[in-house]
Amino acid sequence: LGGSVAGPNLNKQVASPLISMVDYASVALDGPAKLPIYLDDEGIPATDAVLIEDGILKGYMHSRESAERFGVRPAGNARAWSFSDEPLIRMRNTAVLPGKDKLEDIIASVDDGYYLLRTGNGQADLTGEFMFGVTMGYEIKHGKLGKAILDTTVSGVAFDMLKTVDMVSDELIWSSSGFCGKKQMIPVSMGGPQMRCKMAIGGR
Amino acid sequence: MKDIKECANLALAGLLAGGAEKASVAVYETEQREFNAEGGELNLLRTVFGKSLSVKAIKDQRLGSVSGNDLSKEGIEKAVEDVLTATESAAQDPNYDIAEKQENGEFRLPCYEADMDRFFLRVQELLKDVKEQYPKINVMLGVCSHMQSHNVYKNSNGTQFEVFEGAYNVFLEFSAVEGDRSTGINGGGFTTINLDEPFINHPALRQHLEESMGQLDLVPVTGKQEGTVIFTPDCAAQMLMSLLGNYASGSNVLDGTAQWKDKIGQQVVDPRITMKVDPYDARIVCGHRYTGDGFRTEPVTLIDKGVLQCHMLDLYQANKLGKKVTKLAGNGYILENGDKTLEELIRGVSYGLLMGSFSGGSPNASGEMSGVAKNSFLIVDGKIQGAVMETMVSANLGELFNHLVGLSSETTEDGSMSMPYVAVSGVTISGK
Repeated sequence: LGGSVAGPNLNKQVASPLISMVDYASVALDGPAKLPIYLDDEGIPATDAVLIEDGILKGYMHSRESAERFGVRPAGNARAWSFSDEPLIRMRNTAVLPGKDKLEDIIASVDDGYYLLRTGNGQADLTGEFMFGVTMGYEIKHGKLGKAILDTTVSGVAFDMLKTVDMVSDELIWSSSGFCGKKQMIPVSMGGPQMRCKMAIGGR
Repeated sequence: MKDIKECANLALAGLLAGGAEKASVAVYETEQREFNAEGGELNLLRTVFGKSLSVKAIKDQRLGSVSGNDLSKEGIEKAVEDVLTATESAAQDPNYDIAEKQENGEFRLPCYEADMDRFFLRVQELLKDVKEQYPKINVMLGVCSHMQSHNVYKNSNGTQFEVFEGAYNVFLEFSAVEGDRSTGINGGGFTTINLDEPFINHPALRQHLEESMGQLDLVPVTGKQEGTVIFTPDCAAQMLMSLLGNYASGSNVLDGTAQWKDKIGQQVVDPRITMKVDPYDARIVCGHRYTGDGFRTEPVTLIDKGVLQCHMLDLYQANKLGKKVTKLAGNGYILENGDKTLEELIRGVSYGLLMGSFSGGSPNASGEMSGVAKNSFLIVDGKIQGAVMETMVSANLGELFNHLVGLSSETTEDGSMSMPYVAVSGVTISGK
């Protein structure tokens, strides 16, 4: 509704067919979600929200109001930080689903690239443009891990980058130390497999 | 307990009776009345009452500190008990201390009471003005509030400060939309005690609205080359805060990672840069009157004509390092302006950017940074060509301010700072 690039792309291919993304409520794949939510702060019972399925944008995260505008059922994404805050649409436990490839095969397939493991801060925009500070990573040369890289930044446009994904590992790693900083800071968890993709990597 | 002075007295008496050799108490009561707007329409008015108590005790060179929001007699007594217990398990350090006795002060700043009717009319007018003057702007979120704060600080050296302050805060978050084109998120705001002028005329907001309008017309940036970047006042503040935080903050000086740890009295940036913190300057709204250590704040010159005057040290850090404490409390940053207009600065750029904000990872200890130029425009041969997207900038933070091209004569004040436009060379600009 605010002009996000996702707006006109419902039911369209926005990512590689290897990409599926779900915002889980209380149970995620192999067990309890890292930050289980059973009821949101608008009183909606929390259910999973399928965002991308096989590369196709299937849905959004909603509040009662936005769900009514889109003619769908809300899945319990409206959360507030403190008693005096208004509920805002938030991610809960958002993950890209694992694929079938082995990490060692993904690394071996890269002739000249990088393996990026940890990020610091990051931001994303309505246009899909994103940035993440990378605090831990390695060069890959001829299919093998090489030197560690100094702090650097990656950026790109989300849907463009997701369309370049051509290998997805079979492991899912969760992180529950993140925050959604939209007006009120609130804990969120996110997860995903290793993926081979193309994006801009910056530094001097 | 209704009177926060009584709360502070009770807490301090309890701390001293409990054996604290030194102690301090800060009690706040606040009332925030806030309008929210979504999609350009007002949709929420709320009033939030806040109370907080912060107690610190030093006993046998061990520091304990506790915060809470229960100002009942029982709540205060519990906080006192908890903080004294905390000291028992704290590490000993002779550098823990509180400020020596200061001249007591009662500060009554303007705008403690809000004129909510007039404020509402200005907010309503702002949303209407944005729709009429910038029809392509979609206001996603507006948060406009009056914050009233009454706070009391007391310590065991006999210092007491009492502050009554209030201010209006205006913030809009928006993008420009035209057909199926949409720009990225932009936002602007300010703090004021003045309701005399329409809010849309405030430079801190108008500049961002104009930026977003310009962002609809993109031009490509390809390859990688060095150029000159002109930081808008907001972006300049972002860069300078990062520079000071990395290079001169007390925590980094203490752990030895600050690049300027041994540079007091030395030229660290271009001689045209003079930066100070002055909470009493007329351009600063609700400048803090005392520090967390219990000092009265003072105007502090951090950099004078490029020469580092001091690090930003609280009392513990100053004691640990054997240096002088800087009596800063967080707002009132002022960078002195230059003598070139923004137009002159732009005309002097053969290749570069006018950069609205920087979205990037925190610079590492060596000052290397890279990130995305947001709300930015490409400059070629002294003319703005159009807005840019997917454009990264990389530089060394410390070196940047030694490659100063110029400072604008124009400044923007948003109530917490005063900044000019700042042009620097030697920035690596990379496109697709």
